[in-house]
Amino acid sequence: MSTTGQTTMESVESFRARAAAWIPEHLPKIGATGNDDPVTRRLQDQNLDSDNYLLRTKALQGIIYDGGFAGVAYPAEYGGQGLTAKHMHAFNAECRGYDLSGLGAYGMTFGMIGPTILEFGTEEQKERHIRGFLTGENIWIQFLSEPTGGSDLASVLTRADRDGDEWVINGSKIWTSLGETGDYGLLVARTNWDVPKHSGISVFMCPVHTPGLEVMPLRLVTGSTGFCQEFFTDVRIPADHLLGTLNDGWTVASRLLVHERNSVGGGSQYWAQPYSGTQGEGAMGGEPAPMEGRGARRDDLVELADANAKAKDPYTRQLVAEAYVAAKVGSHLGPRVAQGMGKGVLPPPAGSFLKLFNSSNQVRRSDISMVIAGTPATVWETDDRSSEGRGLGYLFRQAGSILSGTSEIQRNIISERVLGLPREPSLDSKVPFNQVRHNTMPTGTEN
Amino acid sequence: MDLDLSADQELFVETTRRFLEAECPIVEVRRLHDAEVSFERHYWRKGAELGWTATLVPEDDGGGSVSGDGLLDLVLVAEEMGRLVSPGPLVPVNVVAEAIVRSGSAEQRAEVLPGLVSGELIATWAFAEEDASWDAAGVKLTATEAGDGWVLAGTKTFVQDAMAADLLLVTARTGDGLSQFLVPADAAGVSITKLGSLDFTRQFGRVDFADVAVPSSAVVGVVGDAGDDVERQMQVALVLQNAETVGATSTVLDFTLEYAKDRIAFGRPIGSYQALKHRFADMRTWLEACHGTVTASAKAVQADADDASELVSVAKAYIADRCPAIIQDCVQLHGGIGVTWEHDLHLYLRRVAQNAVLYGSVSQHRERVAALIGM
Repeated sequence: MSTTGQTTMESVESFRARAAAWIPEHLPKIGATGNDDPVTRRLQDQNLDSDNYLLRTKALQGIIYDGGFAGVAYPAEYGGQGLTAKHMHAFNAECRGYDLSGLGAYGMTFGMIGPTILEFGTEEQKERHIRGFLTGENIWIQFLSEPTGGSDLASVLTRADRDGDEWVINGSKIWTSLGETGDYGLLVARTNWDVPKHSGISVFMCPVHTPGLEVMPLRLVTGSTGFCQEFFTDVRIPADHLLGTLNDGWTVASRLLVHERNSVGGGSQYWAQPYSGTQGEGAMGGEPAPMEGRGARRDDLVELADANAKAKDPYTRQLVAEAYVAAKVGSHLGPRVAQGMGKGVLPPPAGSFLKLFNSSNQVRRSDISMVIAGTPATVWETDDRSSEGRGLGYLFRQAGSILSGTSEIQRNIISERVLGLPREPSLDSKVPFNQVRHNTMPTGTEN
Repeated sequence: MDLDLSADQELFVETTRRFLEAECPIVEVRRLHDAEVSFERHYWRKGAELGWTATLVPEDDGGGSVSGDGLLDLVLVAEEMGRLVSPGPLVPVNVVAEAIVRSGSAEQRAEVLPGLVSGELIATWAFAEEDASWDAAGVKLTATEAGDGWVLAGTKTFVQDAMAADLLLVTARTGDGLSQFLVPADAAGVSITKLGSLDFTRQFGRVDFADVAVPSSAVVGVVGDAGDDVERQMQVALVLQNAETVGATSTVLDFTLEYAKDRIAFGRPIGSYQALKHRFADMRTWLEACHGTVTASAKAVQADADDASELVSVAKAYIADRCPAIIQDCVQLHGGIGVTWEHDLHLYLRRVAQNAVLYGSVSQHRERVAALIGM
């Protein structure tokens, strides 16, 4: 770094070397326990429960913040490192062999909500909230979809009414990832019912642990939880928790969704999940772990074919290669889209390429995996967790094509905003929302 | 196309594009077809002057490239040629140039490279045989040592521009290994039979070698040890072919999109119907992925990276699966006009359908990938 008024950015290689020197002393090696595990040591020093998963996640992020490696591409004035996506990827690459899987809980925070706060937040909001998550203290979630509508986000029925210096929130949100983990939620609510639907929405930064907000886990087809539904009953939040301009929340929400697509598709400059060292598939399920460089591992489907003695079967080989090719091409698409958007050759909605491509791959990969696994994917020995997981994964096959904007919505976005094809005729966008036909909240949603 | 081009590379693309638009628009491609001419020699020499045959050849041998990464520059030419389904032996000549540069003797470099670079000399690679396996195992043509030289016996087929070629680079079996030979197309015992071709202008030949005697100076590289050379030639051919296919498919999708915006049915542009919009979105997504994988594989081959074999096969398996499907759906989106002779769609479909199988089909490259990832 230069010592003159104008600082020069640290080179990627210098940053990488600094990370490589710091990581071994401070991050948990895969399988590390007790005193060999820096996360356990940190929690024990603070007299906290070192077995609590959420505390471990926050402690890990805290270690990275204290080490000066948190929020690599976030501005330095809010606690980030003021560097670039290349620096972030260099840090992540150096984390191979260390267990940072818990940091996935910060994916939405760093990749989607943080960039939105950077764009629309006041100085005070940025100073407070960006640093608030870079330190590990706050995990953010999104209160977007409602029982009455998901894809049609601008039809939200959850209402925010002004009362003195506070907003009073009533309604329900659903499909909230990490609902039980979050500390703050970015909430989309209706603040004016007498104007067309896009003109009466506002976005709020809503504390999760607050009176009147009830979080209920949803049980999924796999039998597990992971998404939540929330009920807001006269939840009161301070007026300064509004993000962006009153009634212009659609602008904020639209940018949030752009960041979401970039992040989910792997094209975010602010977030990429460090290599976790786990054998499971990633959030999108369709990507094999990176095969480049050191420690390349075999595709899960190759292992499956081996385990089923089908590795020499020509049909199986075709199927495995098909899935591998698609995932590999997906890994080429991410950098291309990021570069295209960076250079202005592709518009921001091009992030939808990644979401659509990767979720489609996931569907096909799940089918191929079922074909290769055969009968044991539906009838298994009770201790065969791998076969059970495969069968249940198939039940959940469509999830990636639904969450974060369905594939149909992605196709609308691409065709209208990338390709310039005419928009769908709209029956609801020009009339006051209180005259628009919409679903009604089902009665008894609180069980 | 790579989105990270230097100013020199952008100029190189622009020069090639302007040349092709002026000298070889689609109407000229149709004229060549009607005249049964694969390509005009003067056109090829002018292309050579623009650098189409020089980028894989070092400056000391009379070549040179604008960026110093010759294959990446050549990918830009291939993509432009795809955009106008241009004629010319881009893949054959450059593959042979690459082979000579990599493994040719000093004499071969001196005798062959200047002619290839200037466009005066046409060379092609005679590799595939009747089984069209496009791999080393499919090489049955034998080379047998005889006196001071070698005798070639067997048949090569699917040889692009065999009739126009002055020189043939022949991949032959010598015992357990492969060996390569440079053989003049008019050597005694060589007979070339023209084949039919789906592509509008490209011509292919079957080449019979009836005990063709060649001197030992005809050997390219090491006798019995040409496997790596063959792999490298295959990689170069695939990178250029894939780039051309993607260029051709981009053009088709572009003009189909414009058609969908202009064409009215039931009172509105057909491109306003979601049933069509969603297909366009899928196709545009696949095409972006095709571009990404062309760039990634070209960079790997340029750098001679460890995963170059894998990445060219990944790219081929993906592109040859998606691009013909995209063009066929563009035919569907055009309706009746899409299956007429007068519309240019079929020129692109012909080129892309042929590229999909030359140098290995989707299933052949999936099989290659399966082997490379440990199956």
